[in-house]
Amino acid sequence: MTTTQIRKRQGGLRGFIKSFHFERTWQNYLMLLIPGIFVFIFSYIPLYGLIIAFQDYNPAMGFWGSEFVGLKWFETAMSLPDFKYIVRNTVTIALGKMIFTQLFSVVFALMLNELRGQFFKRTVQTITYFPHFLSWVIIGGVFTDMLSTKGLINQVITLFGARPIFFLGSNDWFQPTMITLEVWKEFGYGAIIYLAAITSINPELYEAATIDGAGRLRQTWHVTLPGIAVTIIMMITLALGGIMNAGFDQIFVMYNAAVYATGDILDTFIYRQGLIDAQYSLSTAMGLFKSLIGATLLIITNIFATKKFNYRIF
Amino acid sequence: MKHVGKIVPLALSLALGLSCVGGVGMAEEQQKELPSYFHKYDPPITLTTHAVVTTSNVFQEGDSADSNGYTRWCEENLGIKWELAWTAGDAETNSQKLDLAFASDDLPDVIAPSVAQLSKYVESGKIAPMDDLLEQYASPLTQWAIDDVTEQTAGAFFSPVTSGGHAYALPEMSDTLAWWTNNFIRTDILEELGMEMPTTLDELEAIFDAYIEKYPGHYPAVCSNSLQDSANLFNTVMTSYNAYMDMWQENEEGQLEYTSIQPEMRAALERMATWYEKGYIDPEFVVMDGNKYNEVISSGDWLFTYGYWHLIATFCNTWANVEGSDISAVPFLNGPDGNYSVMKNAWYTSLKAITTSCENPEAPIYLLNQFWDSYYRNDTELRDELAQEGYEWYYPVTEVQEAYNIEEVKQNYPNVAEPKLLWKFNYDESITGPGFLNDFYTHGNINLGLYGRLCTPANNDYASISAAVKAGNDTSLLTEEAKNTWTGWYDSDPKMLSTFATSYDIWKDLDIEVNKFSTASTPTMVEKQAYLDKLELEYFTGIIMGTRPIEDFDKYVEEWKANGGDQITAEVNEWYASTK
Amino acid sequence: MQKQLQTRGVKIFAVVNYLVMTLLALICLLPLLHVLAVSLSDSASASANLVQFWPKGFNTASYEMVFSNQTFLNSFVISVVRTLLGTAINLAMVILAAYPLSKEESELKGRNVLIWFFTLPMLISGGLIPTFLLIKQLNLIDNLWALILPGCVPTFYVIMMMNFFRGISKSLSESASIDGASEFVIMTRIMLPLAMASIATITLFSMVNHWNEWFGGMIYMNSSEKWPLQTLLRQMLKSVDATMFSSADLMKIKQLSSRSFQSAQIIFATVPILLVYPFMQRYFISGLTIGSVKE
Repeated sequence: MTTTQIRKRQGGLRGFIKSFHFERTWQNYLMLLIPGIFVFIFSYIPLYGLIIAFQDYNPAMGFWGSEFVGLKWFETAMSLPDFKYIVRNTVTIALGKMIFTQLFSVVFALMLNELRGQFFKRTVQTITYFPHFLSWVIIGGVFTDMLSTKGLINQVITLFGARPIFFLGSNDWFQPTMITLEVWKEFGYGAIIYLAAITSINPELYEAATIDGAGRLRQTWHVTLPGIAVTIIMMITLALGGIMNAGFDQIFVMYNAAVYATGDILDTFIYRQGLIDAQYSLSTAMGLFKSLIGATLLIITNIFATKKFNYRIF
Repeated sequence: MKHVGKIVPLALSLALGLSCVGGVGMAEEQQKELPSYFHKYDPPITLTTHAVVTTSNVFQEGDSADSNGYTRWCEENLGIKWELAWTAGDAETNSQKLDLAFASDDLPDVIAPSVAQLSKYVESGKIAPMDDLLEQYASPLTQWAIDDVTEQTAGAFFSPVTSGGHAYALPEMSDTLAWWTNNFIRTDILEELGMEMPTTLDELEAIFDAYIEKYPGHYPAVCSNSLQDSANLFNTVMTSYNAYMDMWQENEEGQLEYTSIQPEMRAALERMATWYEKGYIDPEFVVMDGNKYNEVISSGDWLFTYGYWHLIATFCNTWANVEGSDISAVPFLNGPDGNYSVMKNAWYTSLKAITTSCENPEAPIYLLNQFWDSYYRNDTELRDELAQEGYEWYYPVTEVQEAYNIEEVKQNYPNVAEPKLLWKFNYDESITGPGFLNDFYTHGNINLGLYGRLCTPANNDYASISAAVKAGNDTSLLTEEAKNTWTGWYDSDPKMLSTFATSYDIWKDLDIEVNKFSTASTPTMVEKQAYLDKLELEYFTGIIMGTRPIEDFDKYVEEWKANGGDQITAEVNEWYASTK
Repeated sequence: MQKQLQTRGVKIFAVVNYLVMTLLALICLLPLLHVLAVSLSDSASASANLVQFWPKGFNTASYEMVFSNQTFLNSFVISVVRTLLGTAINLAMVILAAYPLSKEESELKGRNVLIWFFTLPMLISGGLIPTFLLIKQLNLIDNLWALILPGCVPTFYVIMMMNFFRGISKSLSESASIDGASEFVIMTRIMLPLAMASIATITLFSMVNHWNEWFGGMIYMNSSEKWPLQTLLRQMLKSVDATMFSSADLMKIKQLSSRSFQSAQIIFATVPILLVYPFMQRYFISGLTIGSVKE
């Protein structure tokens, strides 16, 4: 070993501090410090509240005085006969929404990219992102009308000779309906991020492809898609982190007793429990449950994407 | 009379109070010595509370929720300064913020908790016993009102807020009749069909059949999806079968049992399922929420429904959209047993409680005493009755004045919900008291402190409206308060008054059963009630829609019992025994 | 021959594309048109749901009511201030976090741990009560900053921006650093101009988020004077609580359930943010037009 090598392997605390190379990198750390402080204060400090998931929380006793009950709330929730299918619904609906929304957003972004007329392109872009702003509380009623057996959709269906379908009252149709409506609402807004990604693809790559004789379709396949692949993976990964949020607002406005079997999700379950009595412990326990599953999925997807496809998100 | 017993101790304290006050040198302004139940704080004290302030609460210029005619009056006359810890935009947020205040150990002096919240706070020792305070500081008028209401509610008035032998809150007295619900029918269509007002469920169905024959593809009865709501159409059938939903009734052994699992409910469900089958209600009723329900009612495409008396507000749209339409309330219909019965929940609308952090817990009681004295100063019958028992009225009878800025208010606030609250009256300055203040506190929209109106079944105001309608719109029969209501309703649509009268007449003589369980949820309820409610809704909806056979009801009862129902029954009866 | 086919194929595709786009635009536009029509209709027709895409009984009463409502305009201003301020702070925070994090572990030690530090809050939260207590202890109740500071470093944007920075060619920053530029300078002079598309996206998303957020206003503000617009709107749209009734509330129902009035409020609250996007569109340009280096 040379002397430089020995010096490099200087052990102990000093060595550790030296490995940061602060003289070069201090600006980076400083930059991180500022948002870091805010994140610590507002996101990390309140984490102590998670303890009430394991307590019988009584605000009078506070966080430290309430009775410790271990996994009682988790057991209570999981022992309810409908818990299994509540979780199943949550995952199915959330997955469906995520996959189809991303799919439509990507395809829409690609197709929009092909448009030549700038004015038309911009107008379409702007209009399609309108629905994102209408809350379900407002437009839920509009869709309930449209989807009723006498509504617009069924009128079209009966034109083709088929029997009318009670979309919102049938366990066969409820989930697909919810997913479709979500796609309608979000595809325009979701496409924005892909459009941004497309614009940052190096135009020289397109030039090179054209020179090689590739038509629009092949260009899209070989240039555009790979260019936005990271974005797609990122969106999917992050969406998976929120897999347990199947969209409370939408479901709440449109679900009903006839479709509890397929429409009841974790958040509607928590909501109904909270109506009886503000159940901080139970909702925190459920929140923790959701977080754990979401975090696990996130990590798994990330590892998968990194190892298999060599796409780094984090 | 029954309240004589209370008068004696009060008279004693009155005498004591007087003897204390009499000794002090009196200023010119004090014409008489105050009875002990009227008190002014000098120097003024501060009381904190919270309130719901919505966008339809309109104030006089420059005023706000914590600074207006009412708060100024409180300060001048009682030496009480009000401070609002927060205002919320709706009841749910208000409730949430109260919980957060409790969690941060920062409850205001006077709070408006829900029954569940109250029992939590009482357990933590944060609430002062209301019954003690009332006993000590309530005036004879206040006491009389409370006794009266307790009698009307068959002793159940304080039970939602009682624990360990003490009452911990004052349920806001509002009209007990604010809860009333009726059948309603379109009398114009009835005439068209050439049929009579039904008295039994069978007769009603005959009318439905005739309607469907005449208007195929339309549904005579409007049913919303909230089956568990006490204003739902399902009640039409349930009342005829002596069935009730989600309540507790006493059986022959003196035990409480859950009404939703009784055989009467089974029969009612079976009947309701036939309604669905025969096309009496929209097959898509499961997606009919409150908004959609209002839409259908507004459009006029209906014959019959069930709901709160204040549906008359929505009926205004019906009358506007369908010319010649007329709506009348229908008395409850007799079922196969030849009778009917109605059960309602205990009528606490909201509660007011005084917390232990309040340094002057008697102050809200003084406020209540004085407020009511002023508000009912012109009720001459009441005056005489109570004066006979030794109650000294603080405020004299005052001649009623006209409001002189009605036109101005109409112009400047065209869409205000309660324009009369902005009217200015030309009262003499010497006349004080909240009954004559011209902002919304006079009508109790935002209640600071203990509040509410006296509660009588034949509520004089509503009774006078009904009497006036029956006498051919004779407005001379109206009480003062009713005059304002009358004008407001008449301007919207005169039919509001006539329909209201039909509804009132049904309720004023009705014998109501009361839900025997009215207090905070038991421990198992907290865990399982949400699930059981959902189970019930699923089963009942399925049975009505025909996707489940009626035999599934028995399955429901079994599942209810097995999944916490039995435990809940035991806990409920435990509580019930403790109240006896 | 092949070229001809290709051109025809391209043309057909273009036509189909235009058709599909028009259809999509329509289905997104129609509900908004419906809401607009309802807001301009008379109350009875609106409540009976008789309005489709054209007003029935045209009147602007609902808008007059909205404009004359002092609280509404007040909340509007609060929302604008909060959105502008909140977005600016979001951007600053996100950029400050994303730039260092876009470096490799070898360049910046501990980076792999730090990225998880910033990501965890997205997955897990302490709940309402501890957050409320914290805000209270910091004396931020009833203060506009309670709506801005918590959550001012959204993980999603950090990751987005970080990946964007990563995509920018390293040689640019390397050559700058050889020339003696500090990290701050590299970030501001080189990276940011190239990241305009990403910045525009984050700005847009952040503005939308702040504009639409209503829960914070409800929990942290003690009086309606401090409410942002969506909190006010949400309170208005909630149906009147049937348990708080008096004859006085009868009139309130009539007014509140007036769908025409509700629709006017919705239009009023939605249109401003809708107008933001067209202005942002010009920033969605390629960031690599400035002296890029071929990889």
